[in-house]
Amino acid sequence: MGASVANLEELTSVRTVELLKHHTPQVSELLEQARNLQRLARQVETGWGQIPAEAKIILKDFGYSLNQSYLRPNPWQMPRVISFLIKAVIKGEIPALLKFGNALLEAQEAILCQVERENSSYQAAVADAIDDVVGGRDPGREMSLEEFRELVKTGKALHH
Amino acid sequence: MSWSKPARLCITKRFEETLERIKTEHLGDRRWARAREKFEERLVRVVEALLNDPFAHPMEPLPRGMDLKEWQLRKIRFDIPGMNWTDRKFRVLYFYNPQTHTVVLARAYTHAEFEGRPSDEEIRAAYDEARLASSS
Repeated sequence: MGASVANLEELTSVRTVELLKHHTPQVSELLEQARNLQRLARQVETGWGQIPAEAKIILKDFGYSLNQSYLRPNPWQMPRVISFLIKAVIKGEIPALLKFGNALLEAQEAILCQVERENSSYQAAVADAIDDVVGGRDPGREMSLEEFRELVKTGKALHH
Repeated sequence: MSWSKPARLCITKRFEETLERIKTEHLGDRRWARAREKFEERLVRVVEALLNDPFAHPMEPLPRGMDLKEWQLRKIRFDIPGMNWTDRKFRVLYFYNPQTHTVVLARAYTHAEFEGRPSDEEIRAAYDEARLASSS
Protein backbone atom coordinates (compact mmCIF):
# COMPACT_ATOMS: atom_id res chain seq x y z
CA MET A 1 0.00 0.00 0.00
CA GLY A 2 1.72 3.16 -1.18
CA ALA A 3 -0.55 5.75 0.45
CA SER A 4 -0.34 6.55 4.15
CA VAL A 5 -3.43 7.38 6.20
CA ALA A 6 -2.55 11.10 6.03
CA ASN A 7 -2.20 10.86 2.26
CA LEU A 8 -5.57 9.20 2.00
CA GLU A 9 -7.20 12.04 3.96
CA GLU A 10 -5.59 14.49 1.60
CA LEU A 11 -6.64 12.46 -1.40
CA THR A 12 -10.22 11.74 -0.46
CA SER A 13 -12.34 13.54 2.09
CA VAL A 14 -11.13 17.06 1.55
CA ARG A 15 -9.11 17.51 -1.56
CA THR A 16 -11.53 16.14 -4.10
CA VAL A 17 -14.55 17.86 -2.67
CA GLU A 18 -12.89 21.20 -2.04
CA LEU A 19 -11.48 21.08 -5.52
CA LEU A 20 -14.95 21.32 -6.96
CA LYS A 21 -16.81 23.23 -4.30
CA HIS A 22 -14.70 26.02 -2.91
CA HIS A 23 -12.60 27.29 -5.72
CA THR A 24 -12.27 27.11 -9.45
CA PRO A 25 -9.84 24.29 -10.21
CA GLN A 26 -7.12 24.51 -12.81
CA VAL A 27 -6.95 21.85 -15.50
CA SER A 28 -3.58 20.72 -14.15
CA GLU A 29 -5.14 20.19 -10.69
CA LEU A 30 -7.99 18.14 -12.15
CA LEU A 31 -5.62 15.97 -14.15
CA GLU A 32 -3.31 15.47 -11.19
CA GLN A 33 -6.21 14.53 -8.94
CA ALA A 34 -7.57 12.19 -11.64
CA ARG A 35 -4.22 10.39 -11.67
CA ASN A 36 -4.25 10.19 -7.86
CA LEU A 37 -7.75 8.76 -7.87
CA GLN A 38 -6.88 6.18 -10.52
CA ARG A 39 -3.89 5.13 -8.43
CA LEU A 40 -6.13 4.92 -5.38
CA ALA A 41 -8.64 2.72 -7.26
CA ARG A 42 -5.86 0.31 -8.24
CA GLN A 43 -4.58 0.16 -4.67
CA VAL A 44 -8.07 -0.53 -3.36
CA GLU A 45 -8.69 -3.23 -5.96
CA THR A 46 -5.41 -5.07 -5.56
CA GLY A 47 -4.26 -4.35 -2.01
CA TRP A 48 -7.38 -3.96 0.16
CA GLY A 49 -6.16 -6.65 2.56
CA GLN A 50 -2.99 -4.68 3.29
CA ILE A 51 -4.73 -1.35 3.95
CA PRO A 52 -4.78 -0.47 7.69
CA ALA A 53 -8.20 -0.48 9.40
CA GLU A 54 -8.02 3.28 10.04
CA ALA A 55 -7.38 3.97 6.38
CA LYS A 56 -10.29 1.71 5.37
CA ILE A 57 -12.63 3.85 7.49
CA ILE A 58 -11.43 6.96 5.66
CA LEU A 59 -11.92 5.27 2.31
CA LYS A 60 -15.44 4.08 3.19
CA ASP A 61 -16.38 7.57 4.40
CA PHE A 62 -15.12 8.91 1.10
CA GLY A 63 -16.99 6.31 -0.95
CA TYR A 64 -20.29 7.04 0.75
CA SER A 65 -19.83 10.78 1.25
CA LEU A 66 -20.05 11.51 -2.46
CA ASN A 67 -23.81 11.25 -2.24
CA GLN A 68 -24.18 13.60 0.71
CA SER A 69 -26.24 16.68 -0.04
CA TYR A 70 -23.86 18.98 1.88
CA LEU A 71 -21.13 18.16 -0.64
CA ARG A 72 -23.20 19.41 -3.56
CA PRO A 73 -22.97 23.04 -4.63
CA ASN A 74 -25.50 25.30 -2.90
CA PRO A 75 -27.99 27.16 -5.11
CA TRP A 76 -26.02 30.40 -4.69
CA GLN A 77 -22.85 28.61 -5.84
CA MET A 78 -24.50 27.43 -9.05
CA PRO A 79 -23.75 30.57 -11.10
CA ARG A 80 -20.05 30.05 -10.36
CA VAL A 81 -20.30 26.36 -11.26
CA ILE A 82 -22.12 27.18 -14.51
CA SER A 83 -19.60 29.91 -15.31
CA PHE A 84 -16.79 27.43 -14.69
CA LEU A 85 -18.41 24.89 -17.02
CA ILE A 86 -18.90 27.47 -19.78
CA LYS A 87 -15.25 28.53 -19.51
CA ALA A 88 -14.21 24.88 -19.55
CA VAL A 89 -16.14 24.38 -22.81
CA ILE A 90 -14.65 27.50 -24.39
CA LYS A 91 -11.11 26.63 -23.32
CA GLY A 92 -11.45 22.99 -24.36
CA GLU A 93 -11.07 21.71 -20.79
CA ILE A 94 -14.05 19.37 -20.78
CA PRO A 95 -11.87 16.27 -21.39
CA ALA A 96 -9.96 17.06 -18.15
CA LEU A 97 -13.24 17.41 -16.26
CA LEU A 98 -14.53 14.13 -17.67
CA LYS A 99 -11.29 12.41 -16.81
CA PHE A 100 -11.56 13.68 -13.25
CA GLY A 101 -15.24 12.63 -12.99
CA ASN A 102 -14.55 9.15 -14.35
CA ALA A 103 -11.59 8.70 -12.00
CA LEU A 104 -13.78 9.74 -9.09
CA LEU A 105 -16.42 7.15 -10.01
CA GLU A 106 -13.76 4.50 -10.59
CA ALA A 107 -12.30 5.05 -7.10
CA GLN A 108 -15.75 5.06 -5.55
CA GLU A 109 -16.78 1.82 -7.28
CA ALA A 110 -13.56 0.11 -6.19
CA ILE A 111 -14.25 1.06 -2.57
CA LEU A 112 -17.92 0.03 -2.65
CA CYS A 113 -17.05 -3.34 -4.19
CA GLN A 114 -14.60 -4.00 -1.34
CA VAL A 115 -17.29 -3.02 1.17
CA GLU A 116 -19.61 -5.59 -0.43
CA ARG A 117 -16.95 -8.30 -0.24
CA GLU A 118 -16.50 -7.70 3.49
CA ASN A 119 -20.20 -8.43 4.04
CA SER A 120 -20.80 -12.06 5.08
CA SER A 121 -24.20 -12.06 3.33
CA TYR A 122 -22.43 -11.18 0.09
CA GLN A 123 -19.96 -14.02 0.58
CA ALA A 124 -22.92 -16.36 1.10
CA ALA A 125 -24.61 -15.03 -2.04
CA VAL A 126 -21.46 -15.64 -4.09
CA ALA A 127 -21.13 -19.15 -2.64
CA ASP A 128 -24.78 -19.84 -3.60
CA ALA A 129 -24.16 -18.60 -7.15
CA ILE A 130 -21.12 -20.88 -7.43
CA ASP A 131 -23.12 -23.84 -6.15
CA ASP A 132 -25.81 -23.07 -8.72
CA VAL A 133 -23.63 -22.76 -11.79
CA VAL A 134 -20.39 -24.63 -11.10
CA GLY A 135 -21.93 -27.17 -8.72
CA GLY A 136 -24.70 -27.90 -11.21
CA ARG A 137 -27.65 -27.04 -8.92
CA ASP A 138 -28.98 -24.53 -11.50
CA PRO A 139 -26.63 -24.32 -14.49
CA GLY A 140 -29.05 -21.96 -16.25
CA ARG A 141 -31.17 -22.36 -19.31
CA GLU A 142 -30.01 -21.15 -22.68
CA MET A 143 -31.78 -18.28 -24.38
CA SER A 144 -31.30 -15.96 -27.32
CA LEU A 145 -30.74 -12.25 -26.89
CA GLU A 146 -34.30 -11.65 -28.08
CA GLU A 147 -35.66 -14.01 -25.44
CA PHE A 148 -33.51 -12.24 -22.87
CA ARG A 149 -34.89 -8.87 -23.98
CA GLU A 150 -38.40 -10.23 -23.51
CA LEU A 151 -37.53 -11.63 -20.10
CA VAL A 152 -36.09 -8.30 -18.95
CA LYS A 153 -39.10 -6.35 -20.17
CA THR A 154 -41.89 -8.64 -19.03
CA GLY A 155 -40.43 -11.10 -16.54
CA LYS A 156 -42.46 -13.58 -18.58
CA ALA A 157 -40.01 -16.42 -18.40
CA LEU A 158 -40.51 -16.53 -14.64
CA HIS A 159 -43.98 -17.85 -15.17
CA HIS A 160 -43.27 -20.54 -17.75
CA MET B 1 -8.87 -19.20 -26.87
CA SER B 2 -10.54 -16.62 -29.13
CA TRP B 3 -14.04 -16.91 -30.57
CA SER B 4 -15.40 -15.17 -33.64
CA LYS B 5 -19.06 -15.52 -32.67
CA PRO B 6 -20.97 -14.20 -29.62
CA ALA B 7 -20.98 -16.34 -26.49
CA ARG B 8 -23.90 -18.62 -25.60
CA LEU B 9 -26.21 -16.98 -23.04
CA CYS B 10 -27.71 -18.87 -20.09
CA ILE B 11 -29.86 -17.52 -17.26
CA THR B 12 -30.29 -19.07 -13.82
CA LYS B 13 -33.56 -19.07 -11.93
CA ARG B 14 -31.82 -17.05 -9.21
CA PHE B 15 -30.94 -14.33 -11.72
CA GLU B 16 -34.54 -14.14 -12.91
CA GLU B 17 -35.83 -13.93 -9.35
CA THR B 18 -33.34 -11.34 -8.13
CA LEU B 19 -33.79 -9.16 -11.22
CA GLU B 20 -37.55 -9.31 -10.88
CA ARG B 21 -37.29 -8.43 -7.18
CA ILE B 22 -35.15 -5.35 -7.91
CA LYS B 23 -37.55 -4.19 -10.60
CA THR B 24 -40.61 -4.74 -8.41
CA GLU B 25 -39.17 -3.21 -5.24
CA HIS B 26 -37.45 -0.21 -6.78
CA LEU B 27 -39.02 0.43 -10.16
CA GLY B 28 -42.48 -1.08 -9.79
CA ASP B 29 -44.32 2.18 -9.20
CA ARG B 30 -45.94 3.79 -12.23
CA ARG B 31 -43.97 7.03 -11.70
CA TRP B 32 -40.76 5.07 -12.32
CA ALA B 33 -41.95 3.77 -15.71
CA ARG B 34 -39.44 5.83 -17.71
CA ALA B 35 -36.52 4.93 -15.43
CA ARG B 36 -37.55 1.27 -15.62
CA GLU B 37 -37.61 1.40 -19.41
CA LYS B 38 -34.15 3.00 -19.53
CA PHE B 39 -32.80 0.44 -17.10
CA GLU B 40 -34.19 -2.48 -19.15
CA GLU B 41 -32.75 -1.08 -22.37
CA ARG B 42 -29.36 -0.56 -20.73
CA LEU B 43 -29.27 -4.07 -19.27
CA VAL B 44 -29.99 -5.63 -22.66
CA ARG B 45 -27.32 -3.46 -24.32
CA VAL B 46 -24.75 -4.39 -21.66
CA VAL B 47 -25.52 -8.11 -22.01
CA GLU B 48 -25.35 -7.91 -25.81
CA ALA B 49 -21.88 -6.31 -25.51
CA LEU B 50 -20.93 -8.89 -22.89
CA LEU B 51 -21.68 -11.77 -25.27
CA ASN B 52 -19.24 -10.24 -27.74
CA ASP B 53 -16.60 -9.63 -25.07
CA PRO B 54 -17.12 -11.83 -21.97
CA PHE B 55 -13.82 -10.58 -20.47
CA ALA B 56 -14.98 -6.95 -20.47
CA HIS B 57 -15.97 -6.87 -16.80
CA PRO B 58 -13.67 -7.39 -13.80
CA MET B 59 -13.05 -10.76 -12.16
CA GLU B 60 -14.59 -11.21 -8.74
CA PRO B 61 -12.47 -12.74 -5.93
CA LEU B 62 -13.75 -16.08 -4.67
CA PRO B 63 -14.73 -16.97 -1.12
CA ARG B 64 -11.95 -18.97 0.54
CA GLY B 65 -11.85 -22.64 -0.46
CA MET B 66 -14.10 -22.23 -3.51
CA ASP B 67 -13.02 -23.85 -6.77
CA LEU B 68 -14.50 -22.72 -10.07
CA LYS B 69 -12.94 -25.42 -12.27
CA GLU B 70 -12.92 -24.03 -15.82
CA TRP B 71 -15.27 -21.13 -14.98
CA GLN B 72 -14.50 -17.48 -14.25
CA LEU B 73 -16.63 -15.33 -11.95
CA ARG B 74 -17.02 -11.72 -13.12
CA LYS B 75 -19.22 -8.76 -12.26
CA ILE B 76 -21.20 -6.27 -14.35
CA ARG B 77 -21.66 -2.85 -12.70
CA PHE B 78 -23.78 0.10 -13.79
CA ASP B 79 -26.16 2.68 -12.34
CA ILE B 80 -29.94 2.42 -12.53
CA PRO B 81 -31.37 5.83 -13.47
CA GLY B 82 -33.58 7.66 -11.01
CA MET B 83 -33.03 5.53 -7.92
CA ASN B 84 -31.58 6.37 -4.51
CA TRP B 85 -27.83 6.30 -4.49
CA THR B 86 -26.91 2.90 -3.06
CA ASP B 87 -29.99 1.28 -4.65
CA ARG B 88 -28.82 2.70 -7.96
CA LYS B 89 -25.53 0.74 -7.90
CA PHE B 90 -26.69 -2.28 -9.90
CA ARG B 91 -24.56 -5.42 -10.28
CA VAL B 92 -24.82 -8.79 -12.00
CA LEU B 93 -22.62 -11.73 -11.03
CA TYR B 94 -21.90 -13.83 -14.10
CA PHE B 95 -19.81 -16.86 -14.94
CA TYR B 96 -17.87 -17.34 -18.13
CA ASN B 97 -16.53 -20.64 -19.41
CA PRO B 98 -13.84 -19.92 -22.06
CA GLN B 99 -13.81 -23.56 -23.18
CA THR B 100 -17.48 -23.66 -24.13
CA HIS B 101 -17.78 -19.89 -24.72
CA THR B 102 -20.78 -19.75 -22.38
CA VAL B 103 -21.94 -16.84 -20.23
CA VAL B 104 -24.27 -17.60 -17.31
CA LEU B 105 -26.02 -14.69 -15.59
CA ALA B 106 -26.21 -15.93 -12.00
CA ARG B 107 -27.49 -13.19 -9.69
CA ALA B 108 -28.55 -9.54 -9.76
CA TYR B 109 -28.30 -7.19 -6.79
CA THR B 110 -27.83 -3.58 -5.79
CA HIS B 111 -25.11 -2.27 -3.50
CA ALA B 112 -27.75 -1.43 -0.87
CA GLU B 113 -28.29 -5.17 -0.33
CA PHE B 114 -24.73 -5.62 0.94
CA GLU B 115 -23.69 -2.13 1.97
CA GLY B 116 -21.48 -1.21 4.90
CA ARG B 117 -22.36 2.42 4.95
CA PRO B 118 -21.17 4.51 7.92
CA SER B 119 -23.91 6.63 9.55
CA ASP B 120 -24.52 10.16 8.22
CA GLU B 121 -23.09 11.51 11.49
CA GLU B 122 -19.85 9.52 11.04
CA ILE B 123 -19.46 10.71 7.47
CA ARG B 124 -20.18 14.31 8.41
CA ALA B 125 -17.75 14.16 11.35
CA ALA B 126 -15.00 12.68 9.16
CA TYR B 127 -15.58 15.36 6.53
CA ASP B 128 -15.55 18.23 9.06
CA GLU B 129 -12.46 16.85 10.79
CA ALA B 130 -10.55 16.51 7.55
CA ARG B 131 -11.59 20.00 6.40
CA LEU B 132 -10.42 21.51 9.68
CA ALA B 133 -7.13 19.67 9.43
CA SER B 134 -6.57 20.89 5.89
CA SER B 135 -7.31 24.53 6.71
CA SER B 136 -5.11 24.69 9.82
